[in-house]
Amino acid sequence: MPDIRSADIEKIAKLARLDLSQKEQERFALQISRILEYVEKLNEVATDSVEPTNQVTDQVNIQRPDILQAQEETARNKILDNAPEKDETGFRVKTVFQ
Amino acid sequence: MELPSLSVQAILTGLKKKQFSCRELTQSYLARIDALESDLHAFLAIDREGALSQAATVDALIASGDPQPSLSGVPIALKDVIVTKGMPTTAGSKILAGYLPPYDAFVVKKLKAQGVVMVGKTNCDEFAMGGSGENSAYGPTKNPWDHERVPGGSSSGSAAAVAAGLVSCALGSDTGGSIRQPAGFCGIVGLKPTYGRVSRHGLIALASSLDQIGPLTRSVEDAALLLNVIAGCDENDATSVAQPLLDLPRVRRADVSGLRLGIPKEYFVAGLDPDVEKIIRQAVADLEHLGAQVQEVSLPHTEYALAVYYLLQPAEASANLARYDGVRYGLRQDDETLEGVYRKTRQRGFGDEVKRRIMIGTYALSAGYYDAYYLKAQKVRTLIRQDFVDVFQKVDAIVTPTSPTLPFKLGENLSDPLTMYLVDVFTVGANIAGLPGLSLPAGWVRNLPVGLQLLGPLWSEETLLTLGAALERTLNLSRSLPRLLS
Repeated sequence: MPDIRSADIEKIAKLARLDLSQKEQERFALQISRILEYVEKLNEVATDSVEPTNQVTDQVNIQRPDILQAQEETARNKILDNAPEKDETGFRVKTVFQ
Repeated sequence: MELPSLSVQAILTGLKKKQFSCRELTQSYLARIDALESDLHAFLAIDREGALSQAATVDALIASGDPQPSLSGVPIALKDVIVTKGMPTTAGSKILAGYLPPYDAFVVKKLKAQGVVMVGKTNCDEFAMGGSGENSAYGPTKNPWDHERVPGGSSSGSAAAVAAGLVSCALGSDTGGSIRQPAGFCGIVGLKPTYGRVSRHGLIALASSLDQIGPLTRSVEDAALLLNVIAGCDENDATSVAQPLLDLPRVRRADVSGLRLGIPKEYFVAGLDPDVEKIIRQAVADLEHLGAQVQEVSLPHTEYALAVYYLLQPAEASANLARYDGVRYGLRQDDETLEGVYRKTRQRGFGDEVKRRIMIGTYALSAGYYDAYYLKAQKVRTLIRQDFVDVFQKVDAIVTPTSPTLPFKLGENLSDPLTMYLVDVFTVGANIAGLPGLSLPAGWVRNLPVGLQLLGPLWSEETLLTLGAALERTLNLSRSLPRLLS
């Protein structure tokens, strides 16, 4: 069984921006190990000469012209209305650069 | 109280013939909601005022004698992963509590243009991750036929609302079976369209290469009606594809003579409830009587489909859920640093299943593991697609059970996440291959519904609906509503 330890979960959680408690790390380590063990059955399948599928309807590069699209007057306000912290200029966040 | 047992088609006819008004119709659904909703918990938001206001508009339009849009007056509910302008949308999660979308999803715009009466938003597993409705951060929905059992998921509320006669039809989303499985567990019709048939613009994304929006309805014909309204190429969804509308008269004729049906042997193995199997095999015999030709077929990579799904879907989900960071919408948990805000917000806002899948996905995509997990799954995905392409050289559609079991009890599958994943075993193939899938009621076992699934090649919804209509007519299952509690 893939040996996912609490320390591995700690690393993954950091990548995924999740703040887990020690107990949660242990619990998830066990559950995720079991799930990864299950998906490892894919190793039974020979895929050396198989192309990966990225999308199923064989479409290629759908594009639109690179021009500005007009928006409603109120769109900006409606978007900002949902923000937990904002000012007149936009969303407010903690300092990015120290 | 019999108006809520009507199909959408019967509603349209009844309104046209002035057998009832839209106001009367809407009030009859609201009355059933008043009676049943506190037990079922199918809804997360109900807009009584808006619904009655729209009903009044429809009645005025009918009185004027002017032509009606194609779904005029039809009461509908939408799974809460579909954004509705000005109506709360939560994806069944606390991390979006209070979110008021500034725009309507493409499908919502289409429905509104056809005059629907929007009743509300339905409960679902959080971010559509689940097979029972039990992962909703707002409490589970109950199966209308047995309140101790699950309605299925993740479109749990949509399925329960339609089955219980709280609305005449609903939209759900399907990433690994989330329309078809709850439709099966609730005894109604559920259709996952071909990937690209319906725009995903405004669908809160789970897995972008697997997600599709589709209808849950009381009849096969209704599913066809709804699909014709919501389908379409959308410049805001680069994966959407223009396709001709479904031929509704062909669906109604329900002529299946000469259609070739495949029974995949890998779907009829140990683990399939024998009572469920009996009903499916009987339905296949019925289709044969109606002129379909039946043969056994093989989908050799069936046993790998769940593993492919539970790698690709979490991987795509981990990317799609990165946007929930407490900055632009929803919950924000404060902290001293920006990274702290991200981590604490997501810790507090996401439930266990969401965290689990984000982590599986993150792991499968991370350096050193990408080839062994994600890339490997994408390659096996190609083989699964090829299995279906090969089979569809020989047959026009495949028949399977929708689920291996009857609806299970609340709490039954919660101790081990893997057990819950196994409920998707018959449905994930269609998402992996992008194929359309229809689930419709095939019978009852101990007063619980059994769903039959039809799968077809890309863009074959019309054939599936034709087969479904034929089976529906021949089975003639009771369309009664679950009893009101006193």
